[in-house]
Amino acid sequence: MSWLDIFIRKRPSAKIARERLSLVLAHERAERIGNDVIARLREELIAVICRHTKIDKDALKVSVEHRDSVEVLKVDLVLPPGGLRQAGSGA
Amino acid sequence: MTQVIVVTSGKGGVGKTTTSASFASGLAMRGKKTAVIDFDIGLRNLDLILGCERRVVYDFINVIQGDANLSQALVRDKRNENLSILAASQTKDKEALKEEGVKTVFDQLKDMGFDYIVCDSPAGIETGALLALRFADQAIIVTNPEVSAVRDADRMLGIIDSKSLRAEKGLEPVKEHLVITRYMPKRANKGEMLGHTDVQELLNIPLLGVIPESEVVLECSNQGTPVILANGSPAARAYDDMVARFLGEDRPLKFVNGDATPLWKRLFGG
Repeated sequence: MSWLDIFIRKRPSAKIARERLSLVLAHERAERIGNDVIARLREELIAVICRHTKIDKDALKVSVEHRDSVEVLKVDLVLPPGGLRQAGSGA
Repeated sequence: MTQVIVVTSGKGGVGKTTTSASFASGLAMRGKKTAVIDFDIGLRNLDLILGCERRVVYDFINVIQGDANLSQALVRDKRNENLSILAASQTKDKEALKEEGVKTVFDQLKDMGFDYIVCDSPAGIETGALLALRFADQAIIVTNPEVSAVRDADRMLGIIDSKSLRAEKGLEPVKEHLVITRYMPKRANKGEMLGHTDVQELLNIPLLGVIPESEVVLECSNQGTPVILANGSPAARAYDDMVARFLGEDRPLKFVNGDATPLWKRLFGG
């Protein structure tokens, strides 16, 4: 603080609040949408895979990972004993 | 058709119960048969705010568990026979609140011919809050003009859009309304507080009401009277406007400009 401060108009704090909020809300909304997409993808993947082979639905993991500067969609599925052969003739 | 309305916020202490009590009373005053339900299991408070705490015999969980029937548990408001209160349980485990039980109670209220079921949500995003919004047709999001309350309100909107039955079934989405409480027009105009337009634009849902900060709110809770009945006070009039807008009336926002009511107006009414 210096005596010069009395001549400098302080920035209204409400303006700062608004800017901070609009940033954080945009970020959190984007994340929410991302999670919704992953959930939908997962359900559809399960449906497709189940047309061809029997799987434990909880064994399918879908996630997005950040590696260096790219995003990677990771789909992880451990097949039940017998693997794909168990599928028989499929659909 | 019975409409289910959840009053929710995410953050605690922003005025959910105060708003639920005034909103439900306002609907009842306009002739709507209204039930207001406290979903805050273990932390019952709606009964105190509505001044009926000594007449609560059975509660929400008693009804769900079959220890009492709904008509025994509903407490009729002494000021308005259109308003009934279902208190939260103060003693039972909150795990006792289950979706099936809530649905059964709502179905019975619908059969009893209630126009509105107002669900006073607990703070947070746990079971009680999720069940309060689960069956909602409309949602009233309560927030203060304060960063953490606004952020939590936005989080709550996201939860309504994904966890409500309407969202899950792909029905018409829950109709959302914004109520801003503890508003101080003078500070907002000086740039010391988020303005109502700021909050509305950030959350991007229609504004139903702006309730000014008022000493009357504490006085009303001391006495067990809903704020909307504090005749003539700005907060009461703001709640009355909010109810009118909810029912489709067009009312301009009051108490947002920070200018004091002129003396002649205060003396002669207006």
